[in-house]
Amino acid sequence: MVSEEGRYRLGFDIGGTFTDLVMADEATGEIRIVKVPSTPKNPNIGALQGLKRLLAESNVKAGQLTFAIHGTTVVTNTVIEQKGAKTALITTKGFRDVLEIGRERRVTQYDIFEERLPPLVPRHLRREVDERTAFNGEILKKLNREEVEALIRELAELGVESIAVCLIHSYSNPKHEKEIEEITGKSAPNIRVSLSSAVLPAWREYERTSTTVVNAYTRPKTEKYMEELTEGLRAEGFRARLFIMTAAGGIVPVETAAQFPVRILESGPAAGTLAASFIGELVGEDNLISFDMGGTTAKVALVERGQPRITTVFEVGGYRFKKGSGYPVEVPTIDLIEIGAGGGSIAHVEMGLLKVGPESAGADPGPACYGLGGTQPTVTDADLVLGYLNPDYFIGGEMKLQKELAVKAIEDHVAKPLGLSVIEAALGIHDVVNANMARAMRAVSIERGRDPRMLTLVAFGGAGPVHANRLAEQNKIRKLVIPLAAGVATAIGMLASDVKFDFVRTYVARIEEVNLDTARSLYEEMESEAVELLKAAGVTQMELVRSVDMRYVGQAYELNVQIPGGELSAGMVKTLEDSFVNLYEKTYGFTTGDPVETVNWRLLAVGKVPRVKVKRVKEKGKAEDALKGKRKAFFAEYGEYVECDVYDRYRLLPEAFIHGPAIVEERESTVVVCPKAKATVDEYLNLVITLEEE
Amino acid sequence: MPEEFDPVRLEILWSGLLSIVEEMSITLKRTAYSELVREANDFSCALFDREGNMLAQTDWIGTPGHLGSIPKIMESVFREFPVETLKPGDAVATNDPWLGSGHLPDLVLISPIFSDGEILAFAVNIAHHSDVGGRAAGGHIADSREIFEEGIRIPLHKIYRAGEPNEDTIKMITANVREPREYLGDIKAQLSANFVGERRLKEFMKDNQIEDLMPLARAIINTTEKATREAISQVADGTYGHEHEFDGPEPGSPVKIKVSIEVKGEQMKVDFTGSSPQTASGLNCPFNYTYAYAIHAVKGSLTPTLPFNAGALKPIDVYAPEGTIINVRFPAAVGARHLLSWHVNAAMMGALAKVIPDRVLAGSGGESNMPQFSGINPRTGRFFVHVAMHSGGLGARPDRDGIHCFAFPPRAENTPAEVTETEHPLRIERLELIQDSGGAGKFRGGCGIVVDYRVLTESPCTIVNPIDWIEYGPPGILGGKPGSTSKFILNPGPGETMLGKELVRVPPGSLIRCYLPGGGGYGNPLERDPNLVLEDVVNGIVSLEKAKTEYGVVIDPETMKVNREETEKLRKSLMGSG
Repeated sequence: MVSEEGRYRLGFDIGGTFTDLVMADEATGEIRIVKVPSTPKNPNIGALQGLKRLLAESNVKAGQLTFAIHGTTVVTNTVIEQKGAKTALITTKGFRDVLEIGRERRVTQYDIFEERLPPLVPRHLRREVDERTAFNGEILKKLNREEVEALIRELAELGVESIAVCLIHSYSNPKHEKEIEEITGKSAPNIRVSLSSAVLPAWREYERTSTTVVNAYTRPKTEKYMEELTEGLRAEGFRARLFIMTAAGGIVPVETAAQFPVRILESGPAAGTLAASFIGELVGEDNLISFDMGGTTAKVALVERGQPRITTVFEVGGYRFKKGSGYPVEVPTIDLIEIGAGGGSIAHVEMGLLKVGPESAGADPGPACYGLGGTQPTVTDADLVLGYLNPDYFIGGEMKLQKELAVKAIEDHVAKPLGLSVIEAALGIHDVVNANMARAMRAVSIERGRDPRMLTLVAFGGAGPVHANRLAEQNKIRKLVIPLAAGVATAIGMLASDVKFDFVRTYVARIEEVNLDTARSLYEEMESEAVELLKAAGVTQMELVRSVDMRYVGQAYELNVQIPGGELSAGMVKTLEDSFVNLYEKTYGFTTGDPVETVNWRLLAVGKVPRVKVKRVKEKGKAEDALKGKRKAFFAEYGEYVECDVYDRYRLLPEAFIHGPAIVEERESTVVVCPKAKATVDEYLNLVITLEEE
Repeated sequence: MPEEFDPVRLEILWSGLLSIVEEMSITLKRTAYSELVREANDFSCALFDREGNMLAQTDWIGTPGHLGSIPKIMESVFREFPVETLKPGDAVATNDPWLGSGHLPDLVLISPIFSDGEILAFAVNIAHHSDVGGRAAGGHIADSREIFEEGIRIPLHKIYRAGEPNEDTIKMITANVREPREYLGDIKAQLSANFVGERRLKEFMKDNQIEDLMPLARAIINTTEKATREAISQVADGTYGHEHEFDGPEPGSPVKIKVSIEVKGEQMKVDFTGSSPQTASGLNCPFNYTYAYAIHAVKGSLTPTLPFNAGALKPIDVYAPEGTIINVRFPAAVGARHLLSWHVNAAMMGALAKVIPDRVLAGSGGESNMPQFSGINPRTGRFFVHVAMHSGGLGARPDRDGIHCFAFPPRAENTPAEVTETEHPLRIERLELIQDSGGAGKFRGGCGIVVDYRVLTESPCTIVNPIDWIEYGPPGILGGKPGSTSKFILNPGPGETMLGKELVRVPPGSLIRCYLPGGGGYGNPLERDPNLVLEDVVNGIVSLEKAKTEYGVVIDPETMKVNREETEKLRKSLMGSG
């Protein structure tokens, strides 16, 4: 198939171990996939090699690509490995230690050895300027330009590459921050400046400072990475626009990503959730749980009416996986729960109980059965012993798994200490990790007012399809969809995203006292900025969504309420109050009748990107034609190993029908169909599993 | 372990219970009005079995003073309300310091969970309310003489009967607190947290086919008890004592906590005999609170990562004679009871250092300089109260420094300056680490901070501050030096006034400056790695002068490098003289 017209879309996701590339033919809906090892020292090398291979294999020229979307962990890794730029912080006089003091939080109840993460800017590079703005934006003390000029000169001499500016109440008046940016631009144009009023214009100085500092700290490295990537692509003949996946599940032009790296933290998990909603769209389901289980963690998210939930509470890194111990980064992020439960999660015994995770054996040494020197038993070891995994077809046979090593690890570290047989111990590991994930699933559904019985589970990631059926059972989910190429679904998700920019302004006012002119001018400002950005991104079809975070006066946590379209009016404000009260009742089960106030006024600007039309497979087939063998696998229902049919995923065609227990193998993953479950293949080659009602 | 719970099922069920209390906590935090709950996380949630044994408590949130007191509260609930007198929809509440967690602002709310007419379990939470009436807003008053000055005391009673609020109580509270809307809103938030606990527990039992919670409760408690006993048995038998002296109610009148810890096999006895008699001020605490922090110290040293439930309590006896500062008799004032949390901890650590020196920490500053501002907010014309919570430095540990401004041993967070300024007529003009405040040691104590508050009221503003560590800084341990002391100053500069524990009214425009103490050091400062001293000097945490006099490290101010030769010489001479 040789064609010169530009009609191919590319998505590529660079993970810690593998780089996945997906290319879609916009005309036929055909999708091609390539998986290559990542090159962590310079991730672009692996990506470009993968691209060359993908283009060669599909006989497409780089010039035919119309659109490329990229997800990366470069920003997250820069923070976690503490390898960012030499960064300075400029604050209002008296506040340079906010970054280090934080909320003075302790994250454990009894651990006297608890540690706080070191500040990303050491104290001697945290500097103050004598200025002050009040909570309402009034300037109490004017910025002294000479003081700033001298400070910038000094920081330049110290070799500072990037500056974070976070002045008190700058969200209500960014004038002084902008002046500092302007002065720096004049006197030290090579230093990058990140303003808190641009990165996160919302109150709570520690969270805003932390977010701005993470941005400044990662910016030079991200910029360099983006430049090299763009150049590399251009050298290959790529001429179209490059977009980067954001944590909120949108895409932004590469220039925006380079300027606001905090926006693209966690772009991988975000893309995974988008993949789930994309697959949901194909199968006609829009209320979903997205479940992605990889080597180290499992990520669970709720998709409602086709849209993932968005939150602004997010953190990077932390102390022993404790909530609240990381660096806060409060930008819009897909609301997902990530727990330390993956194929590499280590099983151990504590107080005579079996625990799994959150520590992981990672990729090196990895699970004991990899034979790379790991001796701790992991989830993958248990899955192998239970017969779910094929030792000769792991990553399509590229890696041989050694069952005897798995047995030994489980025996030494779990079975013997607990007085269990190896099989009981393996089943225990499988059950405990499932219970941990089932709780996360429950947290994103039931605890958010959604009955899991009405939701469809979309499972992917290397280990997801192995565990998904049991998880569905435990949460009484009836329908489960496992896409083809479940191991690279994240990259597919990138092809299903729109261009998105979000904006926020804090304006605290009681609902009956909202000044409509003020609110209108906030939106005028945000909307003109948004339209400009969308145009620059080459978007023609736009959608602007307004919403406002509201709460009862006196409370600290807000709920987000969408503002109906059209001109802001007094009547509309009244509607907002009603929507808030309804949502509050739905969320917490009661209302208080107290006055309501607005806090953050938000704008989401969406530039619609037409969806790839996935090819439908017309051919039909029978399951027995895809049967590749039989294997003994253990299921608790039978209390013993039973002979199971093993199917080749690539030979399963629409209308094939499978009765559990059965196993379906593909290169990057294995699907376990439990007893009593039924699986069919749809015209997009998704495996759809239905569970019996109890 | 009973037969029906293998190590897999028990782990799964136990984690399930922990996630229920976690969800209760999220609900309470998100729906609360009290600044101390929503911003400072000063609240706790727990589940109890029907016999009153604690099964699960929050870990990521909550404070030991609550969590260690709750088990004692249940004893009172059973005494007052035999199970047959409880009905579905009832909620029992009290803020009695002797029944609850030691001071009036903490309201405990206990909801029996019923199934088919039988009590299954109890959902319990404690939340710190912003104001409870009394002489001064905020509830933490150090200079009262009797409990009656400190606010409204709500006896243990049914605040909800069969799902309906007890209107008499509501009226009584409304008439006696400064912000009734907040107070009642917070009771609703507490109630909804317990509702969530009830709903989730029932779903949990149904999903896991559990009809009777008791076998599971016993398995959880026995497992924890066994692990706790094992940990105690690894400590050498013997009796280890310590006396910890600290600021009394008036300047120049120090008081002390004396403790003797007896370790015998798998059992530990903590005896506070010999501690100072109760004071004629708010510097006193009821026994529940002492008990909570004695347990907290033992658990922090011996079994920090194990879950906390009734089983962790059984192997440890705690005794304090009645009428002492840490087992105060009614009707004494208790408004500064939280000060005793860090003093109990310091006394316990001093004793434990004699047998497990690698698992103790030096004295910590805690929330020891906490002015509470109240008056009329000119922007709203309404009453306001702001409890300005910050923490001093954490004591140093055997292998690492203390953390700057770290909430320990009570657990709370600060309120952002931007939130404070938006809601109250106050301006925060400075919030900065204090140089040389962390106690010197092989490992340094965490630094304290200085905070400046500008009062922006139009009428006088009332301030009470249960301040501590003015005379004695948080103690160092095993050769470490104490952390810096506190100061509380009105209009610092020429003509400044040093304030103390007494209530004051200050005019609009006043500047209030608070210095919070640093944590104590661990081990001999002359053994500290000179590179760490240098890093502290570069960052302004330690001065050049103190580097020399305290740590014996000579740093060239021009090159900012350690002079190794001079350092070695100086250290030798200091060791000789010390």
